[in-house]
Amino acid sequence: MNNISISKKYRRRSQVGEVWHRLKKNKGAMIGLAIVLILISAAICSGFLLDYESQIIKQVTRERLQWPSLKHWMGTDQYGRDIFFRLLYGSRFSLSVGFVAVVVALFVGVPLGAVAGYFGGATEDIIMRMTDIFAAVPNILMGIVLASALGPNTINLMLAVGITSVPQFVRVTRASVLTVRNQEYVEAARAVGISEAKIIFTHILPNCLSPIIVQTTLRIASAIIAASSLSFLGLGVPVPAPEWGAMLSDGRGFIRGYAYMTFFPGLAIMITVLAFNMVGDGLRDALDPKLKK
Amino acid sequence: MRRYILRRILMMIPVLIGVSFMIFFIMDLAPGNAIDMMGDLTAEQEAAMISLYGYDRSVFYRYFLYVNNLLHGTLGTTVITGQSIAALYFQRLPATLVLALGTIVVSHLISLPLGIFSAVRSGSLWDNGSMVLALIGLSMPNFWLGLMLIILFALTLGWLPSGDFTGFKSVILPAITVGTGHTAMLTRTTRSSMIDVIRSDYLRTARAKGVPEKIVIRKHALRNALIPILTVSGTQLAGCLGGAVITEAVFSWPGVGRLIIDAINSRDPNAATGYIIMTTLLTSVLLLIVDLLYAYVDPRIKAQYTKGAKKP
Repeated sequence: MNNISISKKYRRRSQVGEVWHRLKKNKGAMIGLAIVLILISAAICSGFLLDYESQIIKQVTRERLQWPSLKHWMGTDQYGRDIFFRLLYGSRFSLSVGFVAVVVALFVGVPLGAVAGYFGGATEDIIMRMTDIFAAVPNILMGIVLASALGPNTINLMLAVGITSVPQFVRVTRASVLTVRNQEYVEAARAVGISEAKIIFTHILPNCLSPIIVQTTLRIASAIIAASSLSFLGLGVPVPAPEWGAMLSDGRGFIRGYAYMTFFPGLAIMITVLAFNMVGDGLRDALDPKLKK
Repeated sequence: MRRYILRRILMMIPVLIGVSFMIFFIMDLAPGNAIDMMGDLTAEQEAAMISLYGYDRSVFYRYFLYVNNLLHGTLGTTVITGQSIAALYFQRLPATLVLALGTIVVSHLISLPLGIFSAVRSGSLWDNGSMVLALIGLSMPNFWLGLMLIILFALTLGWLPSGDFTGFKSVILPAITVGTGHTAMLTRTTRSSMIDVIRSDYLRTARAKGVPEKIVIRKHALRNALIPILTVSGTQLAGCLGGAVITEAVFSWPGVGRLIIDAINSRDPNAATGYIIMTTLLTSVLLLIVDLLYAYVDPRIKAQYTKGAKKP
């Protein structure tokens, strides 16, 4: 009886519950999470509340270049389009590019890293040398080369940013698999004759998740910056679309006198990235209590 | 040690070949080619150009021509203007180096003291404040920061020039723009690395012996915390050498980054690949130097090298 009650007390929470419990105590992470949720709902709702044709891309010459006012909270751009509405709608691009890019990187990077870490030897050498080659080119340059080769549209932007994030995931996953691969339970799984693929996906990867999760969150942040940088250079989402980086680039021609045109889109990018970074930092602490003071 | 350096240098060769292959082929996927970008050509001129650069044959042939050049120790000439790629690169390199140096100075001057102090007073208001600032700095897109700095210091206050490389004053804004993210990253690294060391037993021993706190921090703690800091500094400096592409675009900075973008936009695979190879080479050399510095900073790592067999 006594034994059961003790173990019950200590096993009150599942692993996920335990992490959530620690994450809840982290103020920064909670603020970040709240901002992320607000942004996601803005992205979803703006699709229903705002009409793309009449409110986002329609040019209204008589309303052009107005400073922020009650009517236009963040002013209007050189075509008389409301910047606040465009920013709201633009969250759809930034968030989806960030998420999809990281999902692409996850799907390519994690299996490669897991295979490299698990099998070792020549397989590992080949995968890691390829990764080295890929990572040797600075990220932003790789993004520019890929984006310009693929052509400027949203899907290609996602691909370009996703592909540049692959090496990071390969390295993180491999490093993490290396620490797990020689554990006894893996040996036991092998001894009972479970297939290699199944060992990797059901026994090894679930035990390597923490660094991958943290990396994913932080990578969404950097993917959003990378995507808006490419759009800023004209290599991302094509023009009338209200992508934040592209809006900022539009405002460049008007920094004399119309600074609000560059200020607000940049602020939106920064807040979004900051929110993901805060969640990522919080997750890192919550997933690995040893690191926490 | 010497064998290790030699091996690392030899290992750069396949990486550089791989990079050149990869960039060349991705560039080839792009719609249009450099010949289309040349504008008014007569039909004969165009045909001559196409056969000269091998655009009538497969990409492998063009890559073969390119590597043939490389093996003869030259980066060749740009397809469009016929200028020497190496000459163009080295003409732009000084501006990039100046900006890199400025960035490193800015980021280290701020982040080292800030990080050390935050670690010593860990948990204090000061520490929390600077960590929040660091996170904000890390999240700022630098094209935005650059434009905001231009609006404030160049257009409104008129203190500093808004672009181009004209002298010391013109370095300040771009250096802050690139340096902010670096400062933030380096402050966080310095703090966490120092905190790890501060909790170690040998620091308690040092204090117990009666070593003054200042010396404990400066000599015992900082020296041991230096490796992660060095890694981040090295990676950042290496990143700067690739040209701060975005910042260079914002400030019309005549550095390598803009050269690379121009080459990519004009669909010139020879030039783009050449510049990127040079960048990668510089970066790899720099990272090698950082690795060697580890040995200088940390005698434990040096001991590994001298034993010979052990891989770092």
